[in-house]
Amino acid sequence: MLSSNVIATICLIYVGILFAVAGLAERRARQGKIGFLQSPLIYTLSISVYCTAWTFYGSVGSAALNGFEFLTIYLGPTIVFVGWWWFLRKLVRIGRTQRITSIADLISSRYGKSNTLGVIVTLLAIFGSTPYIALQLQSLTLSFAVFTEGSNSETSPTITALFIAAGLALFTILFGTRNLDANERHHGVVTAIALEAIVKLIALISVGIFVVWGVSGGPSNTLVLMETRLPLAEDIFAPRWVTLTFLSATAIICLPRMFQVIVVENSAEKHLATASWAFPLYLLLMCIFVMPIAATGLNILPEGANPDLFVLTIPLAENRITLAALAFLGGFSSATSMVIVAAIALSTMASNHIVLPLWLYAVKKRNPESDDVRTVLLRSRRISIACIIGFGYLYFILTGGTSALASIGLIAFLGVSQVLPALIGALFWRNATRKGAIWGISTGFLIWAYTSFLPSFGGDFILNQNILQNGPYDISFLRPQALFGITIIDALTHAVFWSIFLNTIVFVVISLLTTPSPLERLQAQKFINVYGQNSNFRSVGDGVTPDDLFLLAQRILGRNDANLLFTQFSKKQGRQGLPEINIELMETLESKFAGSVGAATAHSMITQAVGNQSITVEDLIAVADETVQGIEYSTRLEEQSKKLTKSGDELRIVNNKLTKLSTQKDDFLSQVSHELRTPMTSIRSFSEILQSDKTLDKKQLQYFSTIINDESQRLTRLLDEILDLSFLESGQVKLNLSDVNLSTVLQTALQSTQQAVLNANAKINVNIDWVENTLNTDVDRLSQVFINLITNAVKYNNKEQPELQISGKKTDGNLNLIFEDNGPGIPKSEQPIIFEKFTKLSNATSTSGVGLGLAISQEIMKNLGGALTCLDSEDGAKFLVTIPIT
Amino acid sequence: MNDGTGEKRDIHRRKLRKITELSLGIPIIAICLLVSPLLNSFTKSDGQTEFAFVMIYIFGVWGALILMAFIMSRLLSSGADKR
Repeated sequence: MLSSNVIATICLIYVGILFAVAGLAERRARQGKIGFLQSPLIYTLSISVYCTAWTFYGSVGSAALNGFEFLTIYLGPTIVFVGWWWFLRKLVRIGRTQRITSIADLISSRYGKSNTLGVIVTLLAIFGSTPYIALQLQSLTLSFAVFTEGSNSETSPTITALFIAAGLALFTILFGTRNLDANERHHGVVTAIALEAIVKLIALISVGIFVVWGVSGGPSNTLVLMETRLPLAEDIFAPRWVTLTFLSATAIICLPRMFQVIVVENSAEKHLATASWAFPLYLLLMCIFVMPIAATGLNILPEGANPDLFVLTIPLAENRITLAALAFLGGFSSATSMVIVAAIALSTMASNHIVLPLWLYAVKKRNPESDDVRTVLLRSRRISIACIIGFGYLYFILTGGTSALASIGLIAFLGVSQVLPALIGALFWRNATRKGAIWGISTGFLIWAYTSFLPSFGGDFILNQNILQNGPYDISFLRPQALFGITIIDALTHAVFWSIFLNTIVFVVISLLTTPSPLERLQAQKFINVYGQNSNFRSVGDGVTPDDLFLLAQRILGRNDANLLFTQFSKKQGRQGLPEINIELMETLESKFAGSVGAATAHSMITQAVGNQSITVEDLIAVADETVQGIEYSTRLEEQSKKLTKSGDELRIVNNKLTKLSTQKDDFLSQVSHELRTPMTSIRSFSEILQSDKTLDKKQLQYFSTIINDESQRLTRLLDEILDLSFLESGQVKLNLSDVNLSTVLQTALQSTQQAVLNANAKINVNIDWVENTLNTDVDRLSQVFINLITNAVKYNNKEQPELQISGKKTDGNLNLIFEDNGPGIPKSEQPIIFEKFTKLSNATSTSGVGLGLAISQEIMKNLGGALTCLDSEDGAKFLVTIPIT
Repeated sequence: MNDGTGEKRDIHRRKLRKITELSLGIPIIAICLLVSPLLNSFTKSDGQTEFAFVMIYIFGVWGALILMAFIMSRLLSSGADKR
């Protein structure tokens, strides 16, 4: 028989090895040699923290009592893992992209970073896990007791449990709180747990092989033994079978420690692919010898022996001391790994969701700069670990040794399973709201406590025997184990059905009745569309300075990490000193903070620092679901088509203008050709006559050559005028501006037209008082206009004595000269076209002009900054010349 | 050329989709075989259960699921790599 001292020594050596392995792994990780530490094998082995002492000892006991039933606890996780692509993968991806630190963090982060939810889930997890930790302590003390039984060195189980609890707390504090960022992973702990996973598997298989081949005499004999010894239910598939499979499938996702190893400690998604078959294989290997051990134990051990300890007692009964020690180590490994991981997971939740928010609240009132958040976090995490293991110990002492502990494992499963509806909603249902989650989980939690947790004390705690039997105040309708008068034989099935059913109903109904806040919708978008993850937007506040942020970062990340991060950003921005605050920096900071303090706290810290709780337009766009995106898209399309229509219209207008201009140009060219043709024709015909007819006398010769000369002069004049007009129109004409008297200009014009006026016997009256006014103008050009007007008045006049009245008015800034004659006038219909090129009035008497005079005059006036217009008049033509006074 | 590679990519994508759909089949098969009244088909006429058959059935299905998951994880990760 092994003495308790030997066992204690074996334990200490084993624990020493664990410390060494964990320390070595930590050191390698710090040196960056993490290749092996991040292998899928280590990941898979660490998931086997699912197999606790409850598995190691308890499943043999369960097989001895209930036959096949224990298998459901492993079939549920198998189903979840082989279907990893559809659920676990999404969970792990979300955990990695959102830097989730615990299941409470995931729920709180998804539902609008609500700390209320974080607190509820944390409390739920602590409630559910404390009995479970007590269970581990109990199995450890029981297994110790097996070795010390009857010897005089027998120690009290409370003392043993105290030592174990203290040792576990020490290990967890040392390796579980070494680094703050939960996403930096606990390499030491995970590697130690992987080692423990190997130990427990080898131990159980060794005992199994020994039992089958060493005790029972081969597989066929063992089978016979199992058939005769193990109890067999009539029907294996029954409500309880379904319930247990469902519970275990849920537990592998919702248990805080499972979430810790599967999601938080995951370093690469592809490890999950390996775990999808390797973890079920591990479970299968753990189960394959359970029934042979149970049957053999029932066969060879005396009646009344505790079946929970068959794994230990069979080797001892057969006097295989080494095997017994190995089995003991297996059980020790199972129990310790569970407690360590659970304590890490729960302490992270407790410090992030309860201690830190409280501390921040308290400190804000005193001096926000006074302490280091980092120290507070580490301290609170260490204290939380001690407290959680302490709770487990306390629970063990209070209920110590009662059989109630055996069933508490499943009750704990059901407790944490209340997170499931909210968790599934978080991953797949866009309209799930914070209120729905809070009410759903709370409802499930209350029903679980009422129908399962409290009755598990057998009427000793809060609910007494009478209430259990008859319901509160004898209302049988509310009997804790037959709610609403519906009797479900199995109490666990009853509790699972009502708690999960009502939880889901409340969650769905409240979610449908409430509207998610913008932040919830933003988070829902991020979680549900995690595979199409892109960056999110946030407005950069104006109130915050880089120094503030740096200070905050130092307090949470530590001096070195904060320095490193900010230097990186400065370098990226090409700046000296602190970097500029931009969205990228803030997002990196928030996600780094989230790794340390959880998403809700990180978010509130950043928004507090930035002093901006509002959500920007970009946020809202990101929040917007497909419909809104669709609307946005079609609006953009509409805008574009409007733009296209507009530019199409513009193009059409321009095109019309161009067509018009082209027509004008064609008209002009044909008019010019026509005008050129007439003199050319006469020149050609008269020069032909001169050429061919040698008999012409001198007089005729003279006559013809005069015509040719006149026509060529007319041609030259025409070309000059066209040239002049094109210069004027293009604005290329050069004006010789000078200060002159209006009278001088008029004088020049009158002198030039003197001959024509005399010939026509015309009379010109000039009636201007202010002819002495000085103008800054081009004398030649202005007189050209006057000459044109005077000539026209005389030339086209059919009266005996043509008369021209030139009068003047002075308005502000302008001189208005009016040329009014007593000629035939201009019909109203033709007034708009008289300034067009080559226009001649239909009633024109003279044909000598080419019709460019008025066009040229108008262009001149435009160039001089004035105007030439035609006015309505009773008889005769009336022109208004406007000249600016400079 | 372009059409060729596009078509290839399309075929690949379709194949990948088929694989992921198949991967949903494994947990469904698991539920249908392990959490179903099929388990009761081993109950003998006298109400007793054929122990050996049940054992072989459950562990056999379990092993087959592990094998399927193994093949599927290979297919999925190689498919994802190509993508």
